[in-house]
Amino acid sequence: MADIESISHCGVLAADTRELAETMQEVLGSQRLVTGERAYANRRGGAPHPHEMVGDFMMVTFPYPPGWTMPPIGQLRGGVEGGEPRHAFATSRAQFAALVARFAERGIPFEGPLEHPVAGPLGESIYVRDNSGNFFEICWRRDEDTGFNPAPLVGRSVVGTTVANYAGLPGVAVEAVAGVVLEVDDLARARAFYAPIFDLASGEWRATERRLVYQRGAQSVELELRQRPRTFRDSGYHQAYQVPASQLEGLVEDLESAGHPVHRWQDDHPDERTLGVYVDDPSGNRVQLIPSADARQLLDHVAIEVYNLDYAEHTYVTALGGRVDYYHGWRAEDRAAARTAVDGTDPRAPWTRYEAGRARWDATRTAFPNGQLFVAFGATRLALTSATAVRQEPREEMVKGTPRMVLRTALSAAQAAEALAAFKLRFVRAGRRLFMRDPDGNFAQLDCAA
Amino acid sequence: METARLPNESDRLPIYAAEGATRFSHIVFGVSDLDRSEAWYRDVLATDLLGRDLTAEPAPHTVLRMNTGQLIILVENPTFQRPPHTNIHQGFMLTPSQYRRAYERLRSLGYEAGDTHEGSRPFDEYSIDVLDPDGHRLQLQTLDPDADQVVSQGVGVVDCGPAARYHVGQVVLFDQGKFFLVRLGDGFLALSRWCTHMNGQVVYQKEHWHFACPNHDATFDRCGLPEPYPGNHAGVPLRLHPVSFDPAGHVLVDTNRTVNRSSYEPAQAAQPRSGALSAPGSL
Repeated sequence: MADIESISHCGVLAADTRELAETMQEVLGSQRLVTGERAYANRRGGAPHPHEMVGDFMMVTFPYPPGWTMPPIGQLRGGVEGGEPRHAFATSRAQFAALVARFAERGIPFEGPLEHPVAGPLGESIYVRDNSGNFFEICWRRDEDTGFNPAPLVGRSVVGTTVANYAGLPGVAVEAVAGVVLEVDDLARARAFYAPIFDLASGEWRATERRLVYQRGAQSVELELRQRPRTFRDSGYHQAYQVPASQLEGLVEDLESAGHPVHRWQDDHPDERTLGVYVDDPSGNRVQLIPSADARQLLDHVAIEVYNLDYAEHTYVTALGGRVDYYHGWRAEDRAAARTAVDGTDPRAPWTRYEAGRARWDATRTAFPNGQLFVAFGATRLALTSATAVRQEPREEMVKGTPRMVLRTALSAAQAAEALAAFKLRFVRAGRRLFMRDPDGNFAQLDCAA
Repeated sequence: METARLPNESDRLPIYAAEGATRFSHIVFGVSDLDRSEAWYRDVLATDLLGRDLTAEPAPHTVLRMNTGQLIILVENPTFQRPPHTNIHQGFMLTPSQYRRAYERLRSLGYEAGDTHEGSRPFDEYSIDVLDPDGHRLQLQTLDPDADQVVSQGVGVVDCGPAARYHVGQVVLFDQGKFFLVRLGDGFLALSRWCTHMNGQVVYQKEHWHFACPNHDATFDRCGLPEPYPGNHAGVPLRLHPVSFDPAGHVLVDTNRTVNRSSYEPAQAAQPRSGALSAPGSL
């Protein structure tokens, strides 16, 4: 008997950790255990890094560091040259051919199958490398019927994680971000700020004593009067409005002349990698101005902060039917780009980066990309940014509140309510509207079909 | 001499994997000197030596086996480049008794056998970091078999003072007894601080109205129920200690007794007697 039971987990370095995790899910049927990140008050440190369970083994994937060397093109079998070792997974002899076929069907190049000597424990293997140059092996074992000890898991990392099984449940199928409801402390000042922005395209204003509404097409912005408006200055929260591209610079001049400081920052979404225009409204709601050919769409996207990216993805993707159209922080190149922030020349928006204490294994690493998931609902988008600060969430029992975003679905209110309940999300119904609160205390409104 | 933190003797671990279609089979390390590494993995890591050149690896190699049948294959490569010192490691699981022996073995051979992450581990988790002769970073890890059981504090019944001192919505930590006293609208709960996932000690995060374990991010609501998202390491609710009230209206929490549960029912909350009415809520 050996005096050691098993190998239980490893770290793997990858160019794109999320891509590697998704490939593992697709090909080997692995499951996401959790996405490690600085989930709370800078405690964890590090960019998002998925923990993936492949059968009884946990793989924690990290963006690889600068200086990573790729094996020669075409090398499929390796792991003995230096750097990271090769990890091998076994399937049954009966399942092996089907698994090999799955690699072939997906166009994933592999070497083999190669037969091992009959005197040894292995039967056949195929060899494969991922896009980052990590080597893996898939095999069947001649000793598969031997009564070995069962494999202990890393702690209880995979046990007890099935608190709720949502597989196969239909989501809400949100079609678009239809609007926002914001708090302001002075309706006249708010209108004076927003009118030059919104009136560059056709739309309609409506006003009551305590509310101002601007409507363009199927989207609206509601400004509600509050003595102490709840806004999120100096954070990643913002609303991005389309303005005619030809009038953007003139608008910027007007805003600055009116005493509103304008910032020019770059965001991480591929559509926003030129310097964008940001300005706070008089109450502290951050506004982004998106140049557009016709500005027919009022809201381009809404950005909110979240504390738990997995929980947020569960909410906005799995339950509400969004599609992740881009993610940032999971790639080695994201991390490399963030490192340039140290010298103060990085033009990226402040919420897209953060600095952490020096990691003991790399004394030069001080800046990280902040984890961001961009979720598309039709032609609109919701940006989920890992929280830049710990903020007090609204009172626990509040489900309807402001600020909130308005989402539109073609489902009836009854259908949407059923879906939200199945996903264990908190909401109240008021006619064709459902008011909900996401797990991080952000409010949303679902406008449902008749 | 430094006193090591070591697990209790046991040949068991708390959790084993179910049979699955895909299992880990083996790890292949490049090594610069096969004889040296074979001896190290056999004698220091204490794996079973199966033999040499038993697989289709094209270079000279050694196959070693662990008790689960998982293999370590060492492939000789004279030009092997030492891995860079990152935090990347290969994690091995040992029973508590194996771990104790590994610790003694490593110490007797002059290894430091330290844990670089000791401060962030749950109470019953133990770990050693070690480098093999070629610089591959290995982690040797174990858990006490009762790593998910409540750790008795030996403080018996704790007098938390008058019930009227607590308003609805208040959460107070009694660290000596390792529990949180929570006053809900339904009454008082005494939630054990020991995380039901793996014996971390949960903290109350008032900003989020929930309890969170700093070790693996398990989260629980104020009734102690796991928050319902996939990947939450919290599998079952926080445990309860029985709550009662003495004639003076003081809240008494019996830390000698622990109640496991699968859900929250209002009847789990103890209502103070009349006269110990709640102060105005401050939620």
